[in-house]
Amino acid sequence: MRIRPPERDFRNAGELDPRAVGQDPRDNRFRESTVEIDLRRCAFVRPAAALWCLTYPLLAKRKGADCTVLVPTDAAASEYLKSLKLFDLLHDAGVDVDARGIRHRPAPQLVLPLTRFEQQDDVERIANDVLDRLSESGLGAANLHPLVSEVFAELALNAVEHSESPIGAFGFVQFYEFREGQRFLCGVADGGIGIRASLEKNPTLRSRVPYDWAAIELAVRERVTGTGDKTRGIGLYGVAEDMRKPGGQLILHSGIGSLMISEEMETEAKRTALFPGTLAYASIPT
Amino acid sequence: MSGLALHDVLKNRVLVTRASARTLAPAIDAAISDSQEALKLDFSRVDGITPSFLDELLSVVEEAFARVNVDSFRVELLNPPTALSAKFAAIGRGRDLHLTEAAESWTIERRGGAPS
Repeated sequence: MRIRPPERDFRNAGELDPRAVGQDPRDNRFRESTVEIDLRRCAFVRPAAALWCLTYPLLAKRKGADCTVLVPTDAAASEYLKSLKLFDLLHDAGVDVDARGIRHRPAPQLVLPLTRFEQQDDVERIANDVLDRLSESGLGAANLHPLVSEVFAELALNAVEHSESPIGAFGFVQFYEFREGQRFLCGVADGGIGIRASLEKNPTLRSRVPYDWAAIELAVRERVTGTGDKTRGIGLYGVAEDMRKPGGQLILHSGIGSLMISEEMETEAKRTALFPGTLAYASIPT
Repeated sequence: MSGLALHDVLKNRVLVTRASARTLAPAIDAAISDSQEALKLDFSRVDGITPSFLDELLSVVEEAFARVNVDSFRVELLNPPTALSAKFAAIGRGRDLHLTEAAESWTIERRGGAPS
């Protein structure tokens, strides 16, 4: 199978043709012998999209598929993905990536390039590294540095505790200067069971999560948890509350559902193209 | 009593995991047995905490008071790194604890015994 993302600006997996990525590489019925993700015409691949470009082939590889990621021909786009460490992580997992000749571009705004983790101790260490790097970098408003670290940590803890991902979890933190202003972005993705299956473990929630989009809407509410423990279920609710402050934004994409939360609105969760696992992406204005 | 300085024990600026909170249990036990005053936990040099950490910390505190057969208690969190926001207040509600915020501290109280 060949997957061709949008050519100009590949923002996230929701922009993919659902039929092209409909086969779930977590599923034992996944039968593709080859997977080729063709980024050659992409002028820009944003970090949330890069997390999909990492997760999908890593899962397909585990199901025995030969996987290839064709890198962008645009030099700047390729240099960015190289600095994000996407090509290194793909290569290390046995995915074919021809990244020859791509220059190393220093990226001081990249506070944490794509980094793999699988245990709570990893999250504690990485969150503290992120805060130290933010303090040293002087990027953005210093009073926001702890919030960035906390948000990353809470999203990463969710992935470690609930995803059961066979490929671990991956996260990044980046400072970005958009035309509209400066922001911290942090994202975490896993190739695990997804929010719906996680909540289904709680018998009292099972009938309330028939679809991925219904599960995501429920998951951001106070004290909703698959564990059944009445004191749990605050982490994702807390991140959502933080992102409802002025200018904040949180995007959750799990399975074929996605939800965006911001100060102005909480859109109704919608059906979208498959993310094989869960992606959480927070944007914090500075 | 100046309080138990969490940074001295955990050495981190961001307190993240339940396991980290759990490592404070012996020090909290000792602080409770050493003093008749309210337990004081000092967050100086801590810049951030996650809800997971705070929830487990409150669990550790509840267990420590239960071990000495104390039903009603009061804990002062000195120099908290952040405001007492909705997410932290929610953690208190889930444990039937009353959280209030002052200029440089939070107070956590259990009134009238443990929840049923």
